Amino acid sequence: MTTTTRNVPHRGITALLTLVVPLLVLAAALVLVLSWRDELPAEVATHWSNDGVDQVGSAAGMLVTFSTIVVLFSLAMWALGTFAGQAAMTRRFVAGIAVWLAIFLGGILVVTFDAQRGLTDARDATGIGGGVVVTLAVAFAAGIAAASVVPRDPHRPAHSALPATTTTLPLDVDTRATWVRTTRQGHAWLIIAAIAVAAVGLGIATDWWIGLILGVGLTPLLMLLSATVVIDARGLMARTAFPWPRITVPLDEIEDVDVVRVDPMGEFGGWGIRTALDGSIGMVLRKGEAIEVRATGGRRIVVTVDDAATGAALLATLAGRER
Amino acid sequence: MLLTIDPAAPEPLFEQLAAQLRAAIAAGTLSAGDRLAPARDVAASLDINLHTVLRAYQELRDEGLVELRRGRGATVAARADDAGLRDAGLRAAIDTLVAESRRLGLDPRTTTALVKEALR
Repeated sequence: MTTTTRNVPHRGITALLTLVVPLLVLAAALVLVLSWRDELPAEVATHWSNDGVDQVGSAAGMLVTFSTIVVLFSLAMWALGTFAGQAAMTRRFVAGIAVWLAIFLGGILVVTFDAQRGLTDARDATGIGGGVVVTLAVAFAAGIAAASVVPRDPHRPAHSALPATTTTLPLDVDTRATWVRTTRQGHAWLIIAAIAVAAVGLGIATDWWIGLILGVGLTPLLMLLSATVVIDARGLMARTAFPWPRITVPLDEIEDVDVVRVDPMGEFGGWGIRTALDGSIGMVLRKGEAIEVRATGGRRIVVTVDDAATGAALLATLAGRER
Repeated sequence: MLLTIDPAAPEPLFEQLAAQLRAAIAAGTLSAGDRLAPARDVAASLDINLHTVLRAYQELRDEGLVELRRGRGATVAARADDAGLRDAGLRAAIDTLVAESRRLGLDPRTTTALVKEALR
């Protein structure tokens, strides 16, 4: 852990975006809500169903629960970014999601209590759908903004040659080469249709905004529709059907290249573009062969792709030229 | 797939690219319906002009091996699978031609010129 920690750059910014900003957002929401305490009913509405309020409870209980979630989650994201944040992608992810959650839950508190100001019976409170959707939109925008202000990885060229055992291709030094591999999901339209049906169905069965949230929430699944890996004189680039997030590793920062077998669930806790607890980052879309890259700063990158051997050999060949 | 170019070679770059794609179709690495990498991306990866890549793709389209469609990019044509590139008899004849011309010590350019002449 010590080596890893030493190599994590920009820890101050990580602390700012995963702890300071989310906790300030939470504090602001709490101050605002508490300033309304004389206007609120004795028991507040804490849950809505189709026909209106279906649960009431103590305001304090709700505030404590939401605050605890935000604090614990922020701490977890800070720890991940500080101890496993070798790659900029991880630091962007923790900053974005910490800010997103604080604004989302803080916003829900504000919207929930605002709808009950001046009421004596919380059951008279109107629906909060519109407020929830606005909160979600603001939370997404702020999360993306937080992720985008995270500094990129500093340029850290490798000083040693690649291990002599690394497999390379017999290419002339003047030969330019590229290796592109795109994997498509055969049942792409099924996934899209399932998402649409689920969102519209839930929207009709319950409330339009619940359907909207489900639809938006499931959209990231679409990125699993295709995956592209490109290896060329710029290094390694891996992305899904979306142009962003993408994984890039410049050639001169590569220390070693290998072909490995990876289990996305076991190592990364799922599929997609992900960070593992040890700070490894990966585009892992299935179990099986993958290109594994070790880069300066203690970074490890894993990318699942068919014919990984050819890709890895070309990457090693091009990286070797840089030394 | 792997694409390489040698800027120092006498063969034009577009011809180098087209030759590799043709070989991949003949070997079955690329088959009907497969999408070729977007020309823009290949050009950026190999640091060459976009039109060089497009010219290679157009060459293959003229041979009926690739279809070019707006918005969909380049895909291997349906008829590429049975265009005869993978015919065992043809492969055997080519192997014989190569072996013979090597035995006679002919320059590859001479052999290809003879073949071109014969195909006229």
